[in-house]
Amino acid sequence: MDDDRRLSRHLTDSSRRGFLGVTGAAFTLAFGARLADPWTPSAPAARSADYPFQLGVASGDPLTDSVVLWTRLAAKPLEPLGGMPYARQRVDWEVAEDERFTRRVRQGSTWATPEYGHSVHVEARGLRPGREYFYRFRTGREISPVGRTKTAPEHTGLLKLAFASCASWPDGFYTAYRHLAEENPDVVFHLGDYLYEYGILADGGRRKTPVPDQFRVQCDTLDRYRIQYGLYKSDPDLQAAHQAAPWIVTWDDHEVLDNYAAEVGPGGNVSEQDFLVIRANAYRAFWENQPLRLPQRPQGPEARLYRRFRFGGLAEFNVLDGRQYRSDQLCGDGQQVGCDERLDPSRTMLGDEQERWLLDGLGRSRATWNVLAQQVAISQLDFDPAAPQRLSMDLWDGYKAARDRIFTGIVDRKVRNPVVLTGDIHYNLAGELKADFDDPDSATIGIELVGTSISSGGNGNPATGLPPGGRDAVNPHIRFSSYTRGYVSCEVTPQQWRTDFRVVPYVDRPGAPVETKATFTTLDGHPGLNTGA
Amino acid sequence: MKSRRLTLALAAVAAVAVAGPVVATAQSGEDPGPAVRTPAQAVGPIDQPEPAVKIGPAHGRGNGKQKVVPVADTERIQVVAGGDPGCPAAVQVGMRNQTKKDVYSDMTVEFDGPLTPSRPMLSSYLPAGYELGAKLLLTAPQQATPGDYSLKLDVAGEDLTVPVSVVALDDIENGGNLALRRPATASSTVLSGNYPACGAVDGDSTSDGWAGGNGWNDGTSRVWPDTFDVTLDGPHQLSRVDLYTLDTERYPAAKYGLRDWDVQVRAGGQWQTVAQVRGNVAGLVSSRFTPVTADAIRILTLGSNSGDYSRIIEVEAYE
Repeated sequence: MDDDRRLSRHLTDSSRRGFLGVTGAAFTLAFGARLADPWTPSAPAARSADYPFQLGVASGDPLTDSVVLWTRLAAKPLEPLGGMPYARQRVDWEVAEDERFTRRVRQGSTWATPEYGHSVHVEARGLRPGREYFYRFRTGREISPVGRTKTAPEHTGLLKLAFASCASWPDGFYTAYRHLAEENPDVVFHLGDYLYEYGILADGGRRKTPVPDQFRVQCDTLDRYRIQYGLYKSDPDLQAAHQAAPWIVTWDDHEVLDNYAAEVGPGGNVSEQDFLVIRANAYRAFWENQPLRLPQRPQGPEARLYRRFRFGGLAEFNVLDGRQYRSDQLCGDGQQVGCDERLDPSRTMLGDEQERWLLDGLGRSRATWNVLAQQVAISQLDFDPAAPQRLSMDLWDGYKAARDRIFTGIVDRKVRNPVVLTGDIHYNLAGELKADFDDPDSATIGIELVGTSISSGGNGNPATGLPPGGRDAVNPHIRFSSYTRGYVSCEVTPQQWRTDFRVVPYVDRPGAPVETKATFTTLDGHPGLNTGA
Repeated sequence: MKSRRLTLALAAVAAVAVAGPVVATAQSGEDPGPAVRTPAQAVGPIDQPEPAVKIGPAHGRGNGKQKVVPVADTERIQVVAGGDPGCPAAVQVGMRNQTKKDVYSDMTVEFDGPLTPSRPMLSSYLPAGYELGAKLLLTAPQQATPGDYSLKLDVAGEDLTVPVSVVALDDIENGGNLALRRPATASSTVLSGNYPACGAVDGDSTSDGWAGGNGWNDGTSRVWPDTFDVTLDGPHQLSRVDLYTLDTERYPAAKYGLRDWDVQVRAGGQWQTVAQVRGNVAGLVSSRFTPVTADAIRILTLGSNSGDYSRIIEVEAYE
């Protein structure tokens, strides 16, 4: 059997039938008997030195009847093969309605193969909509931590979500992920820069945690990207966040190389052919390490990551890929004055196919809230307090005609309550999307919520920024900004979208408390930001 | 940040001092504005070497048609026992896809000698016909037994063996260059380790591989002077010191190279200046002086053509 067919078989839970039909009962007993109560600290918490579940567990991409369950076997997470033998290994999995696994609803068995870094992607099917489930894995005598997940609802009047981005490991601790986990959201969106490709100093940067020599050089080959994920995913706070809720992930640039655009690598010193090899390695490692389905699995340097999720009639999420298909950044990238080429209508951020897919989907949607979960700021951001405007060529400002097509498409299709979720810039921002950003009196067509970084940039500066409800002189559509670390928590009902910007005061040491820096509400049918709950 | 990548390495201060009006109070250098998307402080592109993936000259065995075969860019590797770990022996190893299909492939790296290669395996996507090269680093401890060993590369049964000789520091052929591979220290160094002091005594006087370990860059922008010292294996009579500064088509010495420096030697425990260079715009400057017996040399840097950093590719000392 070739690689593809074997994998696609492993990714479904079809093998479950064999278990239930022939050995199901015995298997259930064996699995259950060994683990009386996994939540009790005295349960098999004494992990062996070569415990294979050191990267934790995760779930993702929830549909009404299924969810992806993920783990990756690694006894030594900082080694290319995770310290596992170069051989496939059997992994059992089970899903239950309760965290003690007394009401088991699904189970099965699959293979972790060295070709995929011993990762496991199980699509658990036949689940009920809008329900909480618990899952775990077993290989040999070892049992994984228990994860909590939740399927998408068919109907709902309440959705609690969180979104996050930009988590450079050497820049600081993942305390914000820990607080996010404690909120037990229904779903978590990750908007990219989950991992940075850079080499890491011997002392682990701000973490002052030594890392081996192999981490000094930048990521390029698949083995190198794999150990980078091994390091990142060893973090207990990140593991807690994955364990708490299903994630829906997209990527930005640093999952590959800084500010790449389609087939163009950074610096102009990597040929297109070489860059596409790096991109293929990066995409592959990303898929191996995230709870994604088979259709998202890369074929070499190409991967279909953009996709859509519905949470009843309440909200529809368009998860975008703003890197793989975009036109190259203009005028040397960075912030530029002038650079009228940015107005060129042939420039694209999403590529023609994804752009059409997005607008078609928005046009068809019946949801109350229509969300773009994506990478870079879509609002105009003028970085110069004086005239003329200084705009960043990496953001949608460098792709103005493409943004105008999206905005016009939204207005033409009378899309209900557009909400854009953004990461990338290590800043909290809340803004109103204007039909014409240069005319403050033009129509407000939706809102943008930019979430700051989890750790990238270090501690930040809480004294910086625009208080909630204020107006920035040169960017009057921006109503709040804050250079702090954290994530964003949202509570969505048919009547309103409530946003809490959650921040931590420091990341250079663990244990920071969390507080709400700003709260906004947006009412159904009234695009704009109101301060407070 | 495309074309700014290497520029950033040379102008870090300008790169982080960006702040937007939304954050008008955040004009400090360590507080990047909204559009600075990389965590510039700890891991910024200031000192990232180029990705190692590139097609390079390679030799492999002629067989293995229609297979993926291991390749290496050298037929023999020399590793100095007790050499500075900041400047390991490097060999480009990789795989060549001789099939007509795009594949993902794994290569194992084994070594039978008294050292551990920097990576136990290499994995990559390989388009049909593509040849991948990645840097493999070898360091041998002081107590490593000199001798001939072998590095074995294996891709699914297709193997390639590269002979490795471990040699003692005193046995290397130095061509009269008394500074070659001798202990080098500097007043400061960029923290990442991509510009180690030992890179300026590694025997490579070309500017290739700048930011990849082939030269020294001090860690204090616009602070002068800096010192760069090499300790010889004992007192020697010296009459010439050659200094190579960064000099490429893109980063010419006249714009980025060292401009002013003193050549000093340590004689009888005292540093004394034996030559002065001022207003230099060339990639190589040979300083000749009255023979003096000394056990160390120092380059006291006073200014560069870009005003910010000292950048030395190689320092050589001769009788």
